[in-house]
Amino acid sequence: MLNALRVLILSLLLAGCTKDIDYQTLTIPYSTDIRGFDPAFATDLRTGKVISLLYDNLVRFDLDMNLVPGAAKHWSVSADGRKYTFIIRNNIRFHNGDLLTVDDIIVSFERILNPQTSSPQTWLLDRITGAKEYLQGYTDSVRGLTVINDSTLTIELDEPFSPFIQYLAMPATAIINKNEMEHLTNIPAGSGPWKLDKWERDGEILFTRNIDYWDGSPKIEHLRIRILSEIMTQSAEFEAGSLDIYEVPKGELEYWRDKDYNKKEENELIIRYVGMNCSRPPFDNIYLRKAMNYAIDREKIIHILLNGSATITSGPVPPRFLTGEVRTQYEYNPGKAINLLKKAGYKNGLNTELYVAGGSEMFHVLEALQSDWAAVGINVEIKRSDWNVFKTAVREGKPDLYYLDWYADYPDGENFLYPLFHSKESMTKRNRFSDPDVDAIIEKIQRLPDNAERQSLIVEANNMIADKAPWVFLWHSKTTYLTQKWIGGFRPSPIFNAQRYTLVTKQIGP
Amino acid sequence: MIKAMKDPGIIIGLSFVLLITIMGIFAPWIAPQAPNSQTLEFRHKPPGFSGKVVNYRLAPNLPYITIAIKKISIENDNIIVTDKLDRQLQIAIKNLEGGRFETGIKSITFWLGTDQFGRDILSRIIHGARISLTIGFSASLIALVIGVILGALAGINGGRIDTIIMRLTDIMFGFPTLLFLIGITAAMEPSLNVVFMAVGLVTWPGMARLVRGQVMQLKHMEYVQSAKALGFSKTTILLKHILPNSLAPIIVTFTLGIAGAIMAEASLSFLGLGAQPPTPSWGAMINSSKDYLRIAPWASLAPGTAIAMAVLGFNLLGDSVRDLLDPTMKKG
Repeated sequence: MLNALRVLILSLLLAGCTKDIDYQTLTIPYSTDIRGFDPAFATDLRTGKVISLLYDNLVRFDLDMNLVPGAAKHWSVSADGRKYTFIIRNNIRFHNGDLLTVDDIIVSFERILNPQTSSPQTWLLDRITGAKEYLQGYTDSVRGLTVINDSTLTIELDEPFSPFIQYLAMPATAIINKNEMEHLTNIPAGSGPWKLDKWERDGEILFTRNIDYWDGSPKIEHLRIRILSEIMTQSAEFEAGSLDIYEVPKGELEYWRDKDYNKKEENELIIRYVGMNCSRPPFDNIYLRKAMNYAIDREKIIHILLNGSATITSGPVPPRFLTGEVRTQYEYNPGKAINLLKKAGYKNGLNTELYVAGGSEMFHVLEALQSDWAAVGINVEIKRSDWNVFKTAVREGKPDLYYLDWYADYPDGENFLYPLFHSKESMTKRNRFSDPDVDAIIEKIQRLPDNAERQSLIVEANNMIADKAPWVFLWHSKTTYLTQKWIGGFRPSPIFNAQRYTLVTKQIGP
Repeated sequence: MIKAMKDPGIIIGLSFVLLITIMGIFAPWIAPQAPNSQTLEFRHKPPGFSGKVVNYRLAPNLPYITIAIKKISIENDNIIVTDKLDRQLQIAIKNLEGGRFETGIKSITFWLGTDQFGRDILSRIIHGARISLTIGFSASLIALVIGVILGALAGINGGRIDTIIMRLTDIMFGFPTLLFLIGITAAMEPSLNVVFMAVGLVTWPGMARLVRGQVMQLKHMEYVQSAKALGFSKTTILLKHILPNSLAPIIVTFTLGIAGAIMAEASLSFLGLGAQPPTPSWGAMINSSKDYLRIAPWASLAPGTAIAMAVLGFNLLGDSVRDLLDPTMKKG
């Protein structure tokens, strides 16, 4: 009976979806639409991904997260770590045929910093010498950006800051054609491997390959991104063969486990967490914060609810950036949680609220956490609200508890420390955590170039933060990608903007 | 009465309504499990599945938790449980449910299967009936009170008061109901209290119009005219002579209103604007299991059927009662 029902539902879903496969077009789904093609406003993952298809940066990440040359052929850093010199390629053309020049780069960077652009991404470039004055409108140009000759550019920073070179691979630092900056939201002006054909809002985004791309033309002629908000629609479309690459939602893993598709799993650079407001009662109490961490059975939740597609945390930093053995500080220990709760002065338990944004994937596990906390006497009421309301509440420090996740902007352990735990950031935007030792170690990491000392400092910072428990550390998620049998050359990447689909092929037979 | 029994509508309607009412009132006694008790290991089990669990609490004043058992052994005052992840767990026998081995370890059957957290769907449906009924009645009651007062005021007074009240109801009718509800609930912090207030405040115009019509019609009846001639006040006439005689259509509208309110609550909870997790509201149940439609269709099918039964029940009941009370319908 139930099987018959399943077949019925499936056939209803699939009816009318089957059609001939178009071997010239690679089709992938997004669950929500992008904001536009203006790099200055590319703050979300999906927009950032699309920007990386359309534009070039000075440097970029390859699929294995290595920093590789982009528009810059070579680069070098001065001994004091303050001055970067870039040699620019002279054979890159924008989609309209204009040559990419050093001027385009200067104009693009100044545009991000220009107060009139009101970009939320100025933090990427405001460490350049003179950027602060320019940001406030005191000067007409940024002193630290200097053209040496037609193909050489130097960037000078106020202080040595090692993550800077990775900032230059971010969507907001993409290079824009200086002659076409008028309507960037709707009309991109880049030089990337794909050219835009059409953007139909909440429908689809169509691209054609840039056949003259300097780094080799994409193998498939067209790329089509379809906006499909429902999980069920996406998976039915994939089954019907209308989608080529498909990111399996956590809840559907059970369904796809034994199906005959090419499967690739990737550890994402992400941490999911519950933030606790550390500067006011009740969560200013470290024993209570630790109790929250000990009370939940991560192992069971990952194994059963997430179908094993996550790894346990040792702190905020993903294991990939930690050297040596990674151990979990907070194993499931409800007895310890109860003792800590007593020590914190909550003998009879406590009632609190957890804020979460509606529609979050977290609803697949949230109630299990709630139940684990209730078992030790912490009664958590879930408050769901719209994403914008939620984001404002978090920024203003309103919630005692909130669920969020953090995706890496660039592949560096530092990206899981400074923006989340440095008091300058946390006290103004996040869960109001402030600790002078943590601040000091993060600042030290930012000054050091990538070496063994820096790596061990990242481990130290990770353990230090885990010990102070400003969050309930949940897990690092994995993503499973399925591809149709006619797709070749696809490899997932942990960093969001490394995937440009240039090597993917689509043909009958292997 | 005999005539009523011949009408299949009233029989079906009444039995659905009775079933749901009994479920709602006696939920804690008839539900086989606690509605929010999770056994993660029993995630997405089909209807009829049974499994062995241990029920225990960590300390005397804490709630009970349930885990599935793979192996079990007794050691002095403790039991050693091996869970499905092959982890060993030591539990003091005094912390088991009922304080004894026999009461703490049991086999439970999930007659309607389990949802994604291994909760018993049947128990959640039964407890959900309570929420649906409460919301349905209280929202309808709010609509009834506002509708009757405004309708009666408009009908008895006529003139400018009538015009003002009726234009107000026209304005209210102008809004699409569900959209209006979504707007109200989205602006407030989502909770069930907001839902029933909102539903009540949005659905009264129908009642107001009906009552006004009744009052206008009865106002000219001879017995009302004579009461007026005897010098009774407007209030007395309204309360003693007019309203008792318009009770039948009011009851019918009230009953149909319950069905509408149940539907509205389910819709809002489905959209995440009503009941918050883990509250077992039917709409919220469908929402949280819709992503697993292909893995565990029963998890959304069961609350869907419950909603359909409740709405159908109250609608059939309302319709049949109207037919019975309306003399003009009998001939047709």
